[in-house]
Amino acid sequence: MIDVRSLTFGYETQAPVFESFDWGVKRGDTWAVIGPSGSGKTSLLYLLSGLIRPNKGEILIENRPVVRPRPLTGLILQEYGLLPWLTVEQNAVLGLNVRNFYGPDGKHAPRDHDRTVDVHPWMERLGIAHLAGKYPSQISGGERQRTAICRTLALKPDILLMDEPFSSLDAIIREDLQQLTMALCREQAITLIIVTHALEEAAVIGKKILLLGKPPNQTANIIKNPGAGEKQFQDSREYYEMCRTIRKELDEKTP
Amino acid sequence: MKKRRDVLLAALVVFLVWQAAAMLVNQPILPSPVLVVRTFFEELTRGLAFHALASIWRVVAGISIAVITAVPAGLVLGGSERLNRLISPVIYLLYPIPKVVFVPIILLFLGIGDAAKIMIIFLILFFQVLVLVRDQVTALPPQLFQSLRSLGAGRRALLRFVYLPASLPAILTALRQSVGTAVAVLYIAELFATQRGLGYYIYLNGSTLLNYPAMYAGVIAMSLLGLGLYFGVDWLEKILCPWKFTDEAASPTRTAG
Repeated sequence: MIDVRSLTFGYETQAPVFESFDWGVKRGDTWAVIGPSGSGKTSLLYLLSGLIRPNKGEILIENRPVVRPRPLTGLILQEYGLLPWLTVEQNAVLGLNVRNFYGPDGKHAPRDHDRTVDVHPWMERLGIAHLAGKYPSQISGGERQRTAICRTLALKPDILLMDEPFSSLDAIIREDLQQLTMALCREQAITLIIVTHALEEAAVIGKKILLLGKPPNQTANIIKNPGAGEKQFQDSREYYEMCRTIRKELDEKTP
Repeated sequence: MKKRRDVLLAALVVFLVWQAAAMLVNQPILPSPVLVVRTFFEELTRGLAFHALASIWRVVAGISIAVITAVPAGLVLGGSERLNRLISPVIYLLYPIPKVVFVPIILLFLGIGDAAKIMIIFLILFFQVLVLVRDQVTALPPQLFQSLRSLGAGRRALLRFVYLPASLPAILTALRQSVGTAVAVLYIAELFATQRGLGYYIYLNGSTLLNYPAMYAGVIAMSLLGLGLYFGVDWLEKILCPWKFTDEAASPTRTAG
């Protein structure tokens, strides 16, 4: 579904973070991208979302080069995703409002966009219906992320990109939201790519894990983690082994 | 409401101090507040209301034109780094000039009608609104519109869904900061070449007719005009920015949930 072909990308003054980098993502995959800060995790996500462009090479999604944000790719950031002047309900419906603003033009919104989509079942599903009239400043971090996820899923994306979405949350709430996100992605057949710096999170979510290291990243280092997403995976020996493997790999990559 | 009670209390204190001062001075140039308030209501039907309406019209027209023109300009400058780099030295140069010094020039160019007065108020507010809206837009966290852009929002949608609502508080702050100055400068402007307006009314009663209670009634009318505008901005903020008045808005954000 996603083809990254000899991608080269860097910020003006620094050495490139990616150099002739190849990577592929299959439909329905669940990926975790992990690496130390400065390894290009977030850049990769922004490149996939179309918010920034590669210097060289190209990114193909469904065989089409990504040159602008693609309506069917959802992006969820760690914070500030919600507009502070809108209530939870208004924030949740914002994505749909943006689409209705343009209409089904194929550029900002999919051609088959349905104007009458109702966001309320999604609010129920994400457990934020009772917060409809609250402002983001009045709810917790976990509830804010639920609202952001609701807003994105109401748009029926086929790819969901998440940039450290749970890193500022308490452990229990984080685990809840991890499970919920995985369940929703499975249910909706969404390809999930989550960027994280927490190796436990990578091990829990990523059926495949992409390790990024000190720039420039030239080859995709991939760890397969087929147990991820299974029930009780976190209590299994496999999980601990996986965490150890990731830690070892990361240590080798960070001098 | 507590704030309203405090304001009333403050008004009472001013009233009492004034009364005491009037009794001490005991001269026609400082009449007692009781007399002034009575004169105020009597004068309302004898021209004061007419002059007040003329002033209100000028202020409201000036404010409206300033907001209508400065907001889009501020949004455009805030949204375009290149344009802002080009224009901002000009603003930097013009912004600190006390606009009141333009009064004689504007009177020369626009003559004795309302246009000159409206123009002066417009000038005072225009730069204030422009600068605050521009700064508000440039200060927006990039995550705010990146997440919206990823939902498919282009330039037009960002303007409608992010920039415009985000700049509302800035517009109201600009108004709050400058309505006082606007009313003060309006007074100056109404001293010249007009026979309508509270400035004219105050000056006429004070210096020509030597009707001091009426002059003070005019001062009260002008104060009420300033206060009214100020409260009006507060009221607008409550209507337009309800998210700023939530109980939790001031407290630090929680992370649990």
